Amino acid sequence: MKRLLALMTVCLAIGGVWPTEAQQEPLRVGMIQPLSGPIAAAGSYIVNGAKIALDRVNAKGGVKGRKLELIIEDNKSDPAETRNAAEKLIVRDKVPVIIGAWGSSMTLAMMPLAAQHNVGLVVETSSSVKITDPKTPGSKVVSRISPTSELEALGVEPLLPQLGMKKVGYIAVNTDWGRGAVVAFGDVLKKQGGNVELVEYVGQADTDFYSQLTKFKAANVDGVIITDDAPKTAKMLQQMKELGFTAKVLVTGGSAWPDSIVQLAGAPASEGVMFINFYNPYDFALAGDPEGSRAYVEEWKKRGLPWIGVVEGMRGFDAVNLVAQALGTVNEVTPAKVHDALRAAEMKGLYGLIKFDKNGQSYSNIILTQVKGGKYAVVGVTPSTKLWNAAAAK
Amino acid sequence: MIAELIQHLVNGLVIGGGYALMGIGLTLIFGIMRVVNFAHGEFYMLGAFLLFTLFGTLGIDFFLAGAVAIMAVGVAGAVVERVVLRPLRDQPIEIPMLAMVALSVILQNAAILVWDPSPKTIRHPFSPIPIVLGPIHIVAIRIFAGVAAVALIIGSHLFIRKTRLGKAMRATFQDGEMARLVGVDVDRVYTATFSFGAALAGASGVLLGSVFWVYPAMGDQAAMKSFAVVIMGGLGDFLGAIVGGLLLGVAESLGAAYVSSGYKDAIGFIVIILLLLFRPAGLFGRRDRLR
Amino acid sequence: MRLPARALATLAVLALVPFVLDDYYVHLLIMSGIFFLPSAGMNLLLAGGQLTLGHTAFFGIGAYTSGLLALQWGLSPLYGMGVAAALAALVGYLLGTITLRLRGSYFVLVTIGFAEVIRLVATNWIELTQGPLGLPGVPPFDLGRATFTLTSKRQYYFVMLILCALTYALCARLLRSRFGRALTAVRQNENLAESVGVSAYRTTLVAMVVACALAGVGGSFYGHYTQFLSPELFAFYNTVTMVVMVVGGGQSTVAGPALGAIVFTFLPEFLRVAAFYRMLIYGVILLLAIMFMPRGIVDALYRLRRRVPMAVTEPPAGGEPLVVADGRAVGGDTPLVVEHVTVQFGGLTALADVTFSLARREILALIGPNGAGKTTAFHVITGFLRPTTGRVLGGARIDLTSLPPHEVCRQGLVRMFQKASVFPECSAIDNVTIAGHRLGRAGFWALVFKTRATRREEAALAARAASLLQFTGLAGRGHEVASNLSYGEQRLLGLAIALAPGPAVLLLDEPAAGLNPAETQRVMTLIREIRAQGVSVLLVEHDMKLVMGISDRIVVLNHGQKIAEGRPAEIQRDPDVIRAYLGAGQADARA
Repeated sequence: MKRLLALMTVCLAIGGVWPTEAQQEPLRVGMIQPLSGPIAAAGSYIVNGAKIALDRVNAKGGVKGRKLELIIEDNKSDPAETRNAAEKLIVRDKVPVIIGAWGSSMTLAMMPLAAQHNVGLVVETSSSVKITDPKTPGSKVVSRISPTSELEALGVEPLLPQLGMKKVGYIAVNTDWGRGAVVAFGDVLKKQGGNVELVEYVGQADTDFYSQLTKFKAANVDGVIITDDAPKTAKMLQQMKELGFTAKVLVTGGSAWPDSIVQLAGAPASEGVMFINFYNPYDFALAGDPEGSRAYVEEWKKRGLPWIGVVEGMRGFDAVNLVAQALGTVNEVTPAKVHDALRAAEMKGLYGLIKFDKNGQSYSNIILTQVKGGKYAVVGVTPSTKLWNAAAAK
Repeated sequence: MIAELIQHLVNGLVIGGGYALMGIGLTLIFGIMRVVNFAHGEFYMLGAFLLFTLFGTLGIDFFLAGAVAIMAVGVAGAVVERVVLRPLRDQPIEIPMLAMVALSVILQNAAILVWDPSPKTIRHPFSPIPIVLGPIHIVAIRIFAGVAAVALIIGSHLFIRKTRLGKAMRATFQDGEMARLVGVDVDRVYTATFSFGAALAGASGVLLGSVFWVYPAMGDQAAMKSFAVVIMGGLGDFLGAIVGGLLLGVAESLGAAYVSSGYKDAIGFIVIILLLLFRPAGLFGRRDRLR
Repeated sequence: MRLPARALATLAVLALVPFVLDDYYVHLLIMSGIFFLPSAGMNLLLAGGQLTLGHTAFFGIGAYTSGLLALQWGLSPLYGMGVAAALAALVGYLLGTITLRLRGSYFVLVTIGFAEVIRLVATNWIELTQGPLGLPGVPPFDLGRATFTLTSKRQYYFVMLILCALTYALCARLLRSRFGRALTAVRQNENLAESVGVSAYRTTLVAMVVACALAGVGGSFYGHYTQFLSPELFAFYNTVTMVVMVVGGGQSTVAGPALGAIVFTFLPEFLRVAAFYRMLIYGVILLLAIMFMPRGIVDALYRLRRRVPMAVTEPPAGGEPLVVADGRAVGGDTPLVVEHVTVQFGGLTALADVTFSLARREILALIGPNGAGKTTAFHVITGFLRPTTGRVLGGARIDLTSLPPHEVCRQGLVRMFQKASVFPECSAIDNVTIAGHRLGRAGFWALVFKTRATRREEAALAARAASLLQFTGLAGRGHEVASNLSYGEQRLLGLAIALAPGPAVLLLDEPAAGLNPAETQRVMTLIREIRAQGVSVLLVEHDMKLVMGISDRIVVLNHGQKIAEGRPAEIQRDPDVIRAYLGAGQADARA
């Protein structure tokens, strides 16, 4: 008996001084976003959404008892800076995964380095097909939760007849995003018997679209498709009204949505305009994770963040939750293991059902929304599950 | 066809008025002080943000807020001249230029911190319903911006031509040494010039910020445009800046309409390069001994 | 080849870095090196007084050229880099021919416009560049064959180090050679530079070509290192980064851009700890740096150490002949003929049908009341002004009329200016050495490789400069900065400068202006000595004592017309002359 007690005492003593998981340092994850320069607004939304998720994860005890930490780096809206930020995160901070980097050219700039170190990239916004193209170096470490323009177009295809556009004028921002969207939506429109008659590319910093809209008006198009950020989209709508030019309008990309456009352009100019969105902040049930959706929106309001950014912040929210989940399934936090865990992960997020095909691409909910009576209205939904099923059937 | 052409022309002239205001400021600062003001776009941005805060957030009357914003930017310009530029006055041209680069970084990033980077609209009191004048559709705010720009341009012209300070500025522009010798307070002229130039940029920001929208990086593009205007019009040439600004606005509008949207920004610069090949001293050929 | 010990030591330290610091720092140094190349080039051009704000265009052209050649045609990046440099140099050359004749500030603004156009072309020419979609998958750098592909950061680092060392050596060589002196001359006093035979246009054009080639090399390496290209490379802020490196580091110095590249690459990275305040703090630091170190970091560091005065080369024992016979027709009986020259500015006639000639070894004075057209005549003779009608002929009747000033100098006619007659920021000895430009024969590559012939030439030029200083009595003031010299000393220095190219005809614009009687005597003695060595002298003067005392003949102008010509005694008695002077009101009190 005495020997048993002594043995137990020794074991307790050893157990007491043995380092436990809970006393280890926090789990650090990297994030690269544009926090200065022309895209600073979008970057700030993503970061805010990410922080909401981060605080929520940590409030629930972190990942396996360890606190989750986000190291956020600014890429100044520039690809070269993204590379510098990635070097620091990967080489110095030794993060196992990076969320970022918003713009496609920024993301592409860090892919070779990430691949070299097997560090996984969770791509939350970029839409260029090249990012998940197997021929692109570095695509093997990518897990993208945002849809490409092709997937957007695919998702909205069944809902297109409701738009009733036959002769379309397309205004797109002159970036990979705009150009990719023109191709994707042009194809889908053709399948339905419509046609993109005119394409006008506008610069990122342009503010005046009278020339382009006047051209559309003169060509008698019945529909206008816009791929651009919210402020410019709002301006285009206002200028359409100013020019006395009426047509059905579809806005793609997921960032502009009824509430943001009504706030920026005013209700009269926005009336009837339709949007392709990936998230509905009013219908929590629609998201894959209703409880998370509710918590996200409430926290966003509580923190007094700009309401117009709530549909973009969710990208950061989902990304952090996905990373947290993946980290929770690995026994050893190495970049390769984390990446494998990400690719194998399946998560119900605000984007919908998040999981990854062999190229690291996920499908998201596609929601067709509209401004009706000056307010947010849903026209139709293609849930991500439907898209996954269709893809599996092929 | 003609209807569209007129619409494009009118569009271009209104925007061109804003360009002209910025160009005048920049060309005066360059012509009189020999400073390449790389922070010009940030004074533009400041004007717009100040209007947003005074009018949008604090609820002051739109026109009063605008006037106060412009004057505030002018004061900021005077402070910058006194604190940053005066000590660097005897240095070669690159040094004050680089100081202005640093200032633009400071101002732009301070704006991101003070007001968040989210874009903001200025809900001006003008009706959004377009006024139809024959073939042209134009909204009241654009008419206001155009008229205000013209008024400010005429006001600037009178200021330069008729007031004592304006004459002192012209004298300093023609021959700084000489002006000093006849008793012109060159220090005061420099401060006034920079303040005036900044205020004009701020005015452009107030007007165009109301027509479009407001965000911290909005000065980048505006600065590029004003450089183009100044080259076109001739460095230090007041009238040239006005004509250059209007010309650039119209060229961009027509270029986007009839050539290609993608290259429209290039049109301005290509015109400039051609101009400089054949008329090196700018539109009016007024030779300016620079260095 | 001797390499300074300090440079070798720095190189050794840098070579050790990848073994000591982690890959993040190695990456930052690679990026510093990549930006050092175009910055060094920009610095070279700035040394010649031209600030290019379109430099990132050449960086991007280099990157895309090399990247596309490797991606589409499988060309080894080593050769691709060569093509990139050549293409960037060619485009730079073309741009230079169009823009380098513009005055400094126009050049600045046009280069901005040029870069913007290139950016828009790169963004919109989808077929070639893929536009904003970017070019992922640019092959990594290799050393000529796929088997020598660079894989690790360390390897990239060492290749970068070699490129930077070569660039540094090239720029150091150029800046310290005759070419570098020519750049300094153009920057500090373009008219004076032209008059001693330096072609501002040609000199800055060469600098531009070198600068653009270097930018092309830097861009090419960047593309193969990051393996991704997008049109943001052409954005203006990249040029701003280079300007910060050059001006913040220390322009016109050799080490400035290198130090600037390192400091201003590391600084924003170190500031990442400041999170959201990073760029704001960076801007503040930059502003403070400019205000407290306006000449750059290198200059500030120099000021901290005491400067060791440069040793002035002792002149050789024998006297140096002042005229250099170079086989061209600077001889002949009349080295200068002005034939029926008329100059009209709009309605004003500055010179009306003026004809006179200068004989060999003659001292001819050109006098007349203010506004008579004397300085205009000088401008016409030395190529600063084209006459409306008429001709100017040099020795053996070579037509000088339409030649630019530096060509006129080459024909043996050199001018001393009345105002701004020195290169203000250089020492006196450097002033004269610069002015000997025309006598140097070493071409660009000879200067770069510092051949033995070049070294001999440099020694000869230095010796000549020292002896010219001694001739004018400034030997003890050789290392004084020209702007610190007294007015009289500056005039003497101006004379030494004018003699440096070895003129056959010396044009003196009011050499005694502002001098006291003793100094004026000195000048008169020097002029006589110069004539004794075989130089013909044409001078404009108001000091009648000097004119009457020294001239062989005098030509009198009034209201642009020649009203008298003859020996001093005749002129003094000429009624037209008397009327012109007394009628105009001012006869020189000393006459």
